[in-house]
Amino acid sequence: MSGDVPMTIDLSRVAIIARKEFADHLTDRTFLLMLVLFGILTVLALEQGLAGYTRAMEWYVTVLERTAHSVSSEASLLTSSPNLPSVLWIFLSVGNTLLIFGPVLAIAVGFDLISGERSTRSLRTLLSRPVYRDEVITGKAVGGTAVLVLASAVPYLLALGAVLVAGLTITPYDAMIVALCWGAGVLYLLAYFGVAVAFSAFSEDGGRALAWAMAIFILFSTIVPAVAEDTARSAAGPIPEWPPDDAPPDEIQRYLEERSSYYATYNGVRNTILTLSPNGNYETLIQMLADLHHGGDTAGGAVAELPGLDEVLGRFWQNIVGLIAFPTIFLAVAYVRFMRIDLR
Amino acid sequence: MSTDNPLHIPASSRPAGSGLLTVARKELTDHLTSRTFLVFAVLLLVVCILPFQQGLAGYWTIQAAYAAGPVVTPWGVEEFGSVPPNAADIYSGFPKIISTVGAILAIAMGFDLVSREWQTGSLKLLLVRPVFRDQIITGKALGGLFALTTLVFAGLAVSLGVLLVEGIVPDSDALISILLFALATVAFLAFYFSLALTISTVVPRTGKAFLYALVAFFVFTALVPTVGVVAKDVVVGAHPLPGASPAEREDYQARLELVESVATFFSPQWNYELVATSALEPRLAAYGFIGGSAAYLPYDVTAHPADAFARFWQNVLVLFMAPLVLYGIAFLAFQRMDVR
Repeated sequence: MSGDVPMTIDLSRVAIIARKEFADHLTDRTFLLMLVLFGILTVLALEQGLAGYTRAMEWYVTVLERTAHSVSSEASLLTSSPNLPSVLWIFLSVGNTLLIFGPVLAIAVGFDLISGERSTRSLRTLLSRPVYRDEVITGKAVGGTAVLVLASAVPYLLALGAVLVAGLTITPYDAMIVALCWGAGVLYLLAYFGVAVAFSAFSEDGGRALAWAMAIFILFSTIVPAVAEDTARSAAGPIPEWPPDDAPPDEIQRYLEERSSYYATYNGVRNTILTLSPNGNYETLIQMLADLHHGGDTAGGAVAELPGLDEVLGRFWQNIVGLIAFPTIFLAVAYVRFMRIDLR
Repeated sequence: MSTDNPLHIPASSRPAGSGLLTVARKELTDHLTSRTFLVFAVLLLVVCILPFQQGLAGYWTIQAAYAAGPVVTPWGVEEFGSVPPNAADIYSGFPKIISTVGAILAIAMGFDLVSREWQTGSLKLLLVRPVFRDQIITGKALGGLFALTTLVFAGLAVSLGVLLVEGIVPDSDALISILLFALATVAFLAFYFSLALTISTVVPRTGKAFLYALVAFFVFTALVPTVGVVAKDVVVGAHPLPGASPAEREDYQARLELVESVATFFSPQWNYELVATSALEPRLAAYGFIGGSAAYLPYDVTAHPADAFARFWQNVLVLFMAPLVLYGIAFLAFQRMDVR
């Protein structure tokens, strides 16, 4: 190349492609149809979540009233058991819809990214323009990612609306947890977006790419968890037997130790295998974020007990790494494949 | 001149329906050698291993309890283990798995049958041949149906082989149950296959066709059940309190059953699960998906495999007729398709 053509990525060209891709998706009828379906499912889930929250709140008030009227010895038993219902539950009820429907949305955005342009032969026209291949694929990936960020925000925005309409308030801590959930959701969607783009680069036909991406989805959503559970069970060995009622204390102590080591092995092996699957990582992270709230905010307990976020995130670093590595690998494969694609 | 006319073909060399059979045979071979089909078939098989193992374990548990003799409790004879285990029960975990993974397999088989031929232009070439349009679409539908039947019965043969290796010999009633279950499975898979075929005829691009089929799948599997739950809350109302009068309770039960049956009617997945479960467990008397309830006939009543089908005849009818209706729509759409 001569000196007047710099060999750097021109971000303005990437931005043009990304903007075009973003607009294309948002005006695509199929995508909008899926987004509407997603929205309806979210609203229905929210309705259930709100009802559950109201019930939990009523129960909490009942328990508090009873505590106030009862003797102190019973009261101590009661105060430790109920948790103050959290607004977070409503937000988390949305997460399940994302778990099943999100990948389909992500695959729908990604599967036609390259194969669509190939089958309509517009890719050749595009590449005859003064634009580098890597700029095309980067722009497309950025545009698709932007669409997914927007789409994954939809359920949380709906939940926020529902919470505000119901007249509930959100603490900054809750808001942070919800933001982390959203972040995990975006990474989860990106994982399947990466799979779809990779297959799109390999297959000349959009339908085939979609079929293969769905096969990957089934593999990671049903088969990997089953395998993880099976392996963990056989690795942990038999469940320790419940000691007889008249067993001496050290027998019971031994049983408790055996049981805790059993569950430690079981959870360890299971989590390690699930790290390979975006579904497993996402579920673990969401569960962790939900527990985070449970752990600290018991009734009567000080808010200062809330565990530090960075510390807890550190405990689940494998899942976070897994969730980031998965889309990176597939997008890298798509990138390399697209650079080498033979267009004739 | 008349001998050169390609349309004038001696009747002896072209028996009626030969075009149909040619298309069907070609489609069947295409399916069975297609990589996508094979991958999904393997996925389905792997997914089915776990429920099969659980079914086997359950069978051996009941067998051991039966061998140990009846357990007499203060409330009478314990039901568990009072009758010998039924080989058909081993399959009872399958319907749930097949209703999701199998549906996607069926969609993956049908979504590009017409749209790909349209996209690559081979449809035009095909239609200039002496083969009628109705033969093409019927042949494609039949080829897919044969492929699905082959898959289901191959899986069945493998599972029966495993049962025999394990030393379980199903009696004639159990065999009929399993056969009915297989037929219900083929009908369910045929539903999503014809749905995909119909969409493939209407939508010209393969990717779009698959997406629309997936949207339909999610409407049936996610939206209908959730709407059913909401409808239950709205239409049926709260469960009557313990002190409620019998009339009130009956009223509640009637409304609940209505909502349940309507929701089951519109959800192919639930419909299939109901029919397949009733085929495997003829004692099934009532089943509610929304409430998660199930009622069985008492153990001393003998039930034959076809009895449950008779009890749920509406669901059986819907299960077997829905693919035909969808095929009819695909047929009409294909006949009127504008190929240029």
